[in-house]
Amino acid sequence: MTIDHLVSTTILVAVILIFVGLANQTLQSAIIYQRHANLATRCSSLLDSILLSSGVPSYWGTNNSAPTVFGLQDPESLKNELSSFSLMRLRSGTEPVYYSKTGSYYSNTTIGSGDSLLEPLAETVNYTAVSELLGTNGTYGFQLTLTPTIAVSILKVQSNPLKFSINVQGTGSPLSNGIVDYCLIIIDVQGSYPAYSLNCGTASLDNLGSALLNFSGIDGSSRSFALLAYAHLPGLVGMGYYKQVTDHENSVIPLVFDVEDGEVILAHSYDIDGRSDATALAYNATFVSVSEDLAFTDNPLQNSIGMVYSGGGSPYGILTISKDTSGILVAAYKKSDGTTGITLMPWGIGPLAFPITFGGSPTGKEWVSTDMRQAVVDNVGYQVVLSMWSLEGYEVTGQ
Amino acid sequence: MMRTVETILVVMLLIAALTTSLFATWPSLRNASSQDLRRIALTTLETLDADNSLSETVFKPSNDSAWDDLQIALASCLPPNVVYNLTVYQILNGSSTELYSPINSISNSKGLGESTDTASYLVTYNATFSKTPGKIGGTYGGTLYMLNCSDASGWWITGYTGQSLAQDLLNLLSQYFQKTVVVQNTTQLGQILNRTALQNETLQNAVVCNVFGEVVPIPQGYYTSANVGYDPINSSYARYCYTLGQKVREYNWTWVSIVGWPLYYVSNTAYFASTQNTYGIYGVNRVGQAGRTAFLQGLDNQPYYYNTTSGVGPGRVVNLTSEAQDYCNYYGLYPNPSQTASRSMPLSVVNDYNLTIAFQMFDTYVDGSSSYVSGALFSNSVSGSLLALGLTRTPDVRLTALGLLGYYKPSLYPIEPTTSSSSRLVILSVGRMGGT
Repeated sequence: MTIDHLVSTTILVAVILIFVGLANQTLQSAIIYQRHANLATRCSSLLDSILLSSGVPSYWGTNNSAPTVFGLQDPESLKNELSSFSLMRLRSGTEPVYYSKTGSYYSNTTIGSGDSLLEPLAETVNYTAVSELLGTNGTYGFQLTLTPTIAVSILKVQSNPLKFSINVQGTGSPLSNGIVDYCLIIIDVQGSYPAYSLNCGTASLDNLGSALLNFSGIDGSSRSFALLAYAHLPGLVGMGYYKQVTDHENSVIPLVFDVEDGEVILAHSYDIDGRSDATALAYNATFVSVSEDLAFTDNPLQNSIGMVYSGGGSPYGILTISKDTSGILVAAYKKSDGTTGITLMPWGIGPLAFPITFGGSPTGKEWVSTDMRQAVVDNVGYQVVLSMWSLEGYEVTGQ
Repeated sequence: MMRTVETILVVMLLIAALTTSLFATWPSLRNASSQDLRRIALTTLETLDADNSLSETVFKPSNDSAWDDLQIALASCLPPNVVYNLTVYQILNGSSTELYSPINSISNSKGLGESTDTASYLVTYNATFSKTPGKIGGTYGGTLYMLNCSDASGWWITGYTGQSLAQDLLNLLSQYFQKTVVVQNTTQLGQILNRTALQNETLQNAVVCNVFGEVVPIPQGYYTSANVGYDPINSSYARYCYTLGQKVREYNWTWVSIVGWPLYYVSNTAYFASTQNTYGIYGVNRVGQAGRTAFLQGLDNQPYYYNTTSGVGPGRVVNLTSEAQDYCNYYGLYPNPSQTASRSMPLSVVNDYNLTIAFQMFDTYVDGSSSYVSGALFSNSVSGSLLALGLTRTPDVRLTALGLLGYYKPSLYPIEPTTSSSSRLVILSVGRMGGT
């Protein structure tokens, strides 16, 4: 009798424990599920909040003031068009660049091809500040990435006459039967300062999204040039470029001096990345803008011709460009030995389809929610992805 | 007995626990943190319509190659694991209970995958927003007579001919009138002065536009005869101006002088073939200051009296009144708001001839003890009106149009495009492929 009772009681207790354990596990899963669902909802609404507001002041991208409300929408648009200039002011996560002549560090937004958008750190908005403006500081971490929807890759397939292969891919399929508007900026070495000429045209893509561009009569084997190409179908635009330089030792590096006034410094690469060759460079700069129908326009600058010297004793020159118009600053340069080069700097991130990565890193986070939107920056289609994770409490590793 | 109860309890607990664990299945982790497909679909549509391409495409025939481009663009911008169905609907109107009718659809899959969502986007294209002007006069008038007399010459209309100005003014004004009649010569002018309609139009309450500047065409015959059109005592055709004033009063016309000193000359190239206006323009006879005064005497039904004392104000730059500027915006007429006036009418005419300023175009100004107005529509207290624009040459017929429209105030009725013809509804359904 007693043994029977003990055994049955033990079994009963064991069963109750198993039941409670199962219930507890179920409840725990439910709580986690709810947290994740809540995070996804927050992620979606935060992304909309960022993309559907211009911020305050609405034109904070084109002046030196810091936003008091964060938003990236183009203040002149009611749709999903983003401000190229507001995006330009987001501090890049890559290592900042120091320029000794101004004594300032510069945020380095780059596509990795040697061309960068270098903006004074003091004029950029950083992750912490944006987190505070969005009300996520201390509770959620996020990373905002903008990636061009259309990837335009260009290869030089022949130097004389110059011939390029263009391949255009969307995120889901090639841009079949699309159109390519291109502009070849080729450098001429005659004279004390480099000269440049624009050779623009249109080509059609085949079913695989490819095209060959022939520049008959142009020998590109020993010349510097840049090929800019906008590929498009109605409603969808992508951009890519290809560059060749004959001076591999030096370059002219543009630095944004003042966003509000549209001022840009042309610096010598010796003063920035410490290359060994400090030879002075003669430059000739221009500003190429792209219209809504993707036509290239050369906008000559004042003081567009000059010399760039390295070393502390030589002051830097400043170019002024049209601050409210996005475009591409093109700086052709030439060394005394006749070698030349060309540097491109986008004014706004759209003209060269620079990708943007802004915010913290999601690596190692237990649960990261992502959401995606389509957007347009300077005619170019982008996919905007917001990754978001919780910084507090339960089931978050490393906390 | 107790053992049986305990056993039953244990069995029940076990069954409950197992049952709970069997049914306690949770949605997939993807659903716990799913992307907002509806917003992706909507922003995709907005992207494709950023340059109005989508709006243009959905109005094209279904076999147009633009639909292929749209499908490629859709496939290019959506992630590879997303399937889509884009359907365009025509918006129906009328008595049908059906509101939308599908007209074309493109898709990359028969189904839409595990989870789907839909965004709708209304596009408008080829919509023309226009206005229908109300007609001046209604059933009691509404005729515009445009003096385009081929046998008359103009003065103070430098750079133009009366005929070219007539055409410009017709383009501006004819839409506001019930009927527009172009008076081709002075003979036809004589006919309407004699109450003979030219095209079965209503003669009473008409507007008569004299586009010959300071010159007024004069018909030969009766209207050049003594004491009708000619004052033999003073050797002046001011008598014709008086007769005109009487006719304007009789028919309740609005006489329009587009520029300069009204009725300063009379013209008939045949009748005055050997006469010139003292500036070398043949076919024109100078009446002088008495012309306008005689007209106003006739308008007010006063006896004819040859009077050359009334003058004009000194030259000034004058500005449109705020009321006139409002009408500039309403009717979409934008002459320069500042004009040079050298033939301003003395305000004393208002009292002298029982006039009221029915619509004042330019601000009045004072010189000495006299006030002047450079552009206004003067209405007689009984019948008839005069629109006088005492500006210097060259004339701007937009001011004439503004003066008449500001007086008659015809309404503009906006024509809104019908929804069914100008709008289409685009539905993009997207679904995510892949397992759970």
